[in-house]
Amino acid sequence: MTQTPPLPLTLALPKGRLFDLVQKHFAGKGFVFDFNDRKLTTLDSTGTLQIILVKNADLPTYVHHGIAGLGLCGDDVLYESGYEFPRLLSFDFGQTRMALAARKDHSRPPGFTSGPLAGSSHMTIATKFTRFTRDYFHGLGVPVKIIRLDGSVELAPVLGLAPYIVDLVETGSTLKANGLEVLETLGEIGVNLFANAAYYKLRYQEIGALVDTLRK
Amino acid sequence: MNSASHLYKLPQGTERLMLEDAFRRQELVRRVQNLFTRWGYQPVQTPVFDFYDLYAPLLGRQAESVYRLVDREGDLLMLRSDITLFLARSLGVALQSGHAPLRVCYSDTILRHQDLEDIAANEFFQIGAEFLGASGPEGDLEMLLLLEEVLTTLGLPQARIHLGSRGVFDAAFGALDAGAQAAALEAVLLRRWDELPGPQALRDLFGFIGTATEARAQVGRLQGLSPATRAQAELVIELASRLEALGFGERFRVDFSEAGRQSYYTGLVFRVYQPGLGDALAAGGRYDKLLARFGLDSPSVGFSFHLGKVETLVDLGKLDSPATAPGATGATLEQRFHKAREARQAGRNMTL
Repeated sequence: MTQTPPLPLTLALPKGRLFDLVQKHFAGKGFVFDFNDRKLTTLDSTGTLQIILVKNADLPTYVHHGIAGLGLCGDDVLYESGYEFPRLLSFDFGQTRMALAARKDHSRPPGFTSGPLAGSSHMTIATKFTRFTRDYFHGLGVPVKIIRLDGSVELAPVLGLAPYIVDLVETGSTLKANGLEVLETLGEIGVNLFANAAYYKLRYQEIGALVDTLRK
Repeated sequence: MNSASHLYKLPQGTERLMLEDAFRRQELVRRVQNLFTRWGYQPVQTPVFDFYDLYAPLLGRQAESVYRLVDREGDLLMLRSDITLFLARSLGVALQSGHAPLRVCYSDTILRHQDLEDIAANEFFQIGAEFLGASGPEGDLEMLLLLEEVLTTLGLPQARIHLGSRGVFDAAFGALDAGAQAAALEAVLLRRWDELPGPQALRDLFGFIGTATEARAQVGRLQGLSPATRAQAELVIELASRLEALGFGERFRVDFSEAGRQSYYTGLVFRVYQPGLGDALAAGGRYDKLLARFGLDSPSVGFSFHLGKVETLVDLGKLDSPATAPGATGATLEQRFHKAREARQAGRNMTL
């Protein structure tokens, strides 16, 4: 019986807001990498990781199909994908929160001011995070009409498309600049390293060693 | 949607295999079936659909993915989505309690909506074996040795069989209410140790993967396991030790996070992992109470293989495909027929 050849572990990283933070964090642990000449795959300096760079929302798909054995992204992206993976490590960078926001002068739905949203009869919400929004409000027993948008969600209340939005909020400055305010934080969003379950089972020793190094 | 757009769209949960691909599938199935025959397993066939209410309590998360239809009498039916269940109902009714041990095998299509979490996502063909009336570790061992030989026959030396047990999980979390048990099972299956209730020893137990020897050492070290949990874990380790002693140590790993998603598992649970596949390619275990749901008190152990997943990975060697059959020579059909008959009698393919 032959041994699994010592190939590098495959890791999918997201383009966008997290990439620079991840690159710096990994370099601090000895895994230096860069993507030059518009390449989308690279090997890290130790030869441990074959890294592929993919669009945020596509990342869970690559891991689910085992194309990348490991993935790293925010909880928001994972939740929207609907896939569930073994979580290996939570990072202390890139945290943000999912929030419900509206115009400062909006009229609140009945029951909403007194805490839980259960008294609301119906809300129209514009968001990129349709799955999260639906599950969150249905969990509270609030019917929601969701309008899916892919960017500049803050415009929706300003232009009258929907009175509410659900979006990621870091500093809140974009909301403020558009005359919006956070009504409620719906969830804290962390950044995690996770694995395709079958891939983990086959490479658990190497993955365990990687996680130990990243955790130190 | 008009019929032209349906013409090019594939309904969820269906596949079509043509020509060379279909021939390869047929060859794979034939080789595995031959192996089952050599081990004394008799073929069984299950119906394409059956009454939904018989299976509804057993489906768990699979309930969302089965196809249902209404027959002419107004009864709700479901299409065959899992041969293990359909087989349990067929044999549960046909056999009498106290029957002699019975070895059966099957290979057939299954129909279900693709499910993200399901081992059978994108999978439409199941081949498997079951040993009915087989209680105790020897039945478990027979099934695992048969599965090992299937993997060897298919030329998959890197595939690994992970051995776990629903018994370990039940001993550790059986006292919790149904909701908390379901949450603990999710935490174990997804290796989310921060969400697992109970002492640290349980996290160290369910998080462990390794050889029989390593498992014995690990379980020996852990403080705070209940005697029942420890005893169940030792049953799995004992199986792995016996497989190791038979020379299959590399093929098998003890992995207590294999607790089985289906509620019908009662003891041993196992899954097979193969490099290059994003999901397990075979799964099985012991379900001693499943047949009782259909009127037969008989312990049972079995596995099911998702052959489509390995079709591209298996080296079948040079196949004598009908696609390359030469044409017979001859001016008339009669002459060509005689030529071709001679060729076929000599074991060669030939078209008229």
